[in-house]
Amino acid sequence: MMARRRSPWDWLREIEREIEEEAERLIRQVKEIEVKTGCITPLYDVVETDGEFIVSVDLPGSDKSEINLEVKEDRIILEAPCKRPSPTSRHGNRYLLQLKLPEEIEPEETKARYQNGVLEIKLTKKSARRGVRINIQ
Amino acid sequence: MSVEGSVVIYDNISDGRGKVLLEGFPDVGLVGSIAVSFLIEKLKLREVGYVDSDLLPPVVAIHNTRVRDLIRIYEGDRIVAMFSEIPIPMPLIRPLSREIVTWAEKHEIGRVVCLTGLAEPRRLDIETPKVFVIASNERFTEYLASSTGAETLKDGYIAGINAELLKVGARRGSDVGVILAQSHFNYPDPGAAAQLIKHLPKIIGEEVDITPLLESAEAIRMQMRDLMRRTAESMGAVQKSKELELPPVYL
Repeated sequence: MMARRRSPWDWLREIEREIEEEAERLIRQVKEIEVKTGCITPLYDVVETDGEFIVSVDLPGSDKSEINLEVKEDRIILEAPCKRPSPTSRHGNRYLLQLKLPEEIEPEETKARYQNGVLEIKLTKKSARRGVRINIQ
Repeated sequence: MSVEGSVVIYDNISDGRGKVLLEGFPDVGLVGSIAVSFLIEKLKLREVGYVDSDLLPPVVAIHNTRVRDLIRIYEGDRIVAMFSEIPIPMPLIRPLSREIVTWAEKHEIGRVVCLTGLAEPRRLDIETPKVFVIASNERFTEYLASSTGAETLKDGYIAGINAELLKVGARRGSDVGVILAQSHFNYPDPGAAAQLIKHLPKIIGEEVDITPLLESAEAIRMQMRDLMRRTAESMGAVQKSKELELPPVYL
């Protein structure tokens, strides 16, 4: 029996299916972590610039004074109670985020601000350390 | 009932004539989803139908022991609303867009208005998000701009189902518009949704008090976390980041 030739549409559908499966796997992973830790994994975003990682974390229902942010050279660990219990009640009322950074940073130079329930953390890359200015002849 | 391709819209709508169809599918900041679900509750719209397709995942929602479809249609005196509990799957975007416009025409629903967010990277520093409008034709763009008092989106890109709806509207000469509020990209943004609703009275024919929406903003953000995560994952497939770019000049 002759095998049917694959059309470009078959390839596209396969790529689409792979993307969907990967998204599903990531979402399942997040839910499993939530169930195992009893904590809520907050929504977060990482933007990388030349010298920084800017991490923003959505923490509705948290209080600035109760956010515990620990910054290491290669990761950040964030814990915060959330005052409003999750409406779904399936998980605890505590946020937990452990984030491994793709590059080492200078923990002492970290800056963070909390505004309207979003925590923004600016992390300076080690590789961004200023060099020596050279006069051009 | 209306059928296009593999999409079927079942409805029991009483009279769509002259009404406006508000679409609020999951998208940037879930602005449309939050705004439309708030309006459905506040204006006490009746559930009158649903969308089905073999391109939808085999999932049903359970609310208060009732089995519900994922994409539902509601009707009020002046508006019809469409709401989805999941981001619209990529293969469904084109057939659903065509079907929505066909269905609206069949029911003589004069206008289709999509509510959504416009990703703003500096959203954290913005107290009052700006609202923009764009439509499938100049006349309807002008109508939306004057009715809402919002700015016209002059240059840029729209991606996803709202883009497809605009395209279908433009090709068929139908009035399809998009109203966008600056919002977080991948965090639920009830503040942006509230700002958007503030611009709608002339479109929907009545004022809606947004105080309850703002008061429950934290709970909404927590409740919609999972939908936002799923929507963020799906937005890559429709090149949503294109909305952050400007089109080339001279074209």
